[in-house]
Amino acid sequence: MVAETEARSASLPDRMPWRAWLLPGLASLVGLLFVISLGVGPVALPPGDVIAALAGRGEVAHRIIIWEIRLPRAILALAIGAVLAMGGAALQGLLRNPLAAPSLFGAPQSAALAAVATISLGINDTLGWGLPVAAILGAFASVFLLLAIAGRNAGLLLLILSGLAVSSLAGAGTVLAMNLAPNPFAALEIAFWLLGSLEDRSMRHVTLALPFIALAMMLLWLQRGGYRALALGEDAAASLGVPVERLRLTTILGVAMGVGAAVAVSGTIAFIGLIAPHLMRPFVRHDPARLLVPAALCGSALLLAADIAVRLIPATSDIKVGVLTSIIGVPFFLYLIVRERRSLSGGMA
Amino acid sequence: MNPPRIVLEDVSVRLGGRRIVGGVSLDLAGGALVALIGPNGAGKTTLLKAMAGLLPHEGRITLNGSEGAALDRRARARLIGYLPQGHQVHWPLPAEDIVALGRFPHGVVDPRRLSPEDGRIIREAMRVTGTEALAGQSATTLSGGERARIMLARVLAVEAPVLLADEPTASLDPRHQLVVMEILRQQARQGRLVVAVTHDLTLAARMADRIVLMDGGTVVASGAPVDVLSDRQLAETYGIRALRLDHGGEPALIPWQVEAQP
Repeated sequence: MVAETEARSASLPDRMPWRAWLLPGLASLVGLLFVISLGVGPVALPPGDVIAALAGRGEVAHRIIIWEIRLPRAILALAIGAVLAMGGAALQGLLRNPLAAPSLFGAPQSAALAAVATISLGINDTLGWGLPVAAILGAFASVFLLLAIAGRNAGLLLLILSGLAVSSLAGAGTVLAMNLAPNPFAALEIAFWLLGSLEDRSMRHVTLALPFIALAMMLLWLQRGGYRALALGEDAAASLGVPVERLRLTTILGVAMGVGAAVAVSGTIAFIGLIAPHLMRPFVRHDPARLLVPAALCGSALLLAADIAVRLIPATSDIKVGVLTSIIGVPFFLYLIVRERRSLSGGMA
Repeated sequence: MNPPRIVLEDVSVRLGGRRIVGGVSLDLAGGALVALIGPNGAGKTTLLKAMAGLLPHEGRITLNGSEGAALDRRARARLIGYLPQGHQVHWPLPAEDIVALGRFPHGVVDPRRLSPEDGRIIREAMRVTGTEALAGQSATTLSGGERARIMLARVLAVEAPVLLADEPTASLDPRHQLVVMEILRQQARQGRLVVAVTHDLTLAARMADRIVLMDGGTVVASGAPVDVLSDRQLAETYGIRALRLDHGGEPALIPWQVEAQP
């Protein structure tokens, strides 16, 4: 106890003590959105009924709606939002660049292609373990390829252009599979991977994705010290004892595992990995290590909110959540480009 | 602190198939400020990186008798502090967090959770470099001189017996050039081995205990400043002639005139 007090007094002074409330605040927000997410739908349930149904009380119909239909969806939104955001934050830490994001590098698109390809070829069915594995391999291949093309100290422009090429290729492959689909239903099923949605998921989907997502987040979180040291550049980080090559590979693996598992059950959901870390960065004094957890919580909140929004937006047909995140994400991306214009044009020289 | 010693035996470094450093042998012992000088492209930075264990090389580099490659990553990081040139910071981190990174090899992961000892060392590094007042300031809003001193504080916080600094005075105003060199000299006086790459012959001549002159990837001269910075050496390696002054018994050297290239 005494040692702990001493340690705290020796620490550098916290200049913004209110930041101690950041994680509890974000966690409460995620909790609130989670409960709202369980209540929203064709049968609107007030929070009281939701909690009763979760506890196994209340009407049977409500319990079925909550446990069978809405809970898997909410859990997936929570987990996928978290892993996409943490993956983005980790990639940004690795590349020391706020514009790095798995979706800009073609990772989800490649994961989707791998998933679609194995389904079309009859290797996988949509509920087998082979599917997340294929998607993870697809995502890994794309990020690995991208960093191999762009090189170690690649500028922003090179990374984004290479990412564009990779995601276009993956997109073309997916559309080709649609093109060659034997019947309209098969084509429709493939289209699902391009849209990204959390509708009609079961607990089977949750068990399929969650282990990989948890492992990915653990893997990335353990690298946090390395991301902070990388702020000084690769040489300085290496001289501080950071295994830079291993950090790079572990990060790619973690991001691929998270993105692949997410895509395997939800299709491509873009831009969470770009927006969430950006929103949280000022709250952690731009520390790429302390960014990871708040970014993950923010990602959960964003995807839960987006998934609630698609159920509330009046439309003749369902709007898919992946479409919504893109519609919000692209203008945000443009805003970031404008902000980073200087470093972008610097990368061209 | 046991005085450290770095021995290089026939060290060569190839980058992208090209031989940048070839056949360098040196014996550097603690307690000295060594200036590593030479014209652009002489291989100074490459040699310094090889000494820091950041580049694969041929030949042997030993630190206190054991080969660098045999050392565990963390152990080596605690023995050798390396200050790269350019003083870049990629995120607007607060200055004190950057200095705290110097404790990373000692197991400090979170700058908000420091042992009393780590906290003391960080504050001492900032005191020595005169950067205490900058502690909470974001790295990207610092001036060039401030950032250079924060980076120096970062490498001092490692408390390594060997300190390798690549152009620590580049782009600093005259006052800060003197301040930084004086700090490095103090570190050497405490028994450390300090190797600093520099283009400033005047400062090197005045402050260094020993000068290693490189040209074309090899060491062409090594020894006391008066011996290495002879008229003939300056003409042959840099293609310049220097003005020599005597300031109350202290020799001063100023690069003065371009000679015909040899």
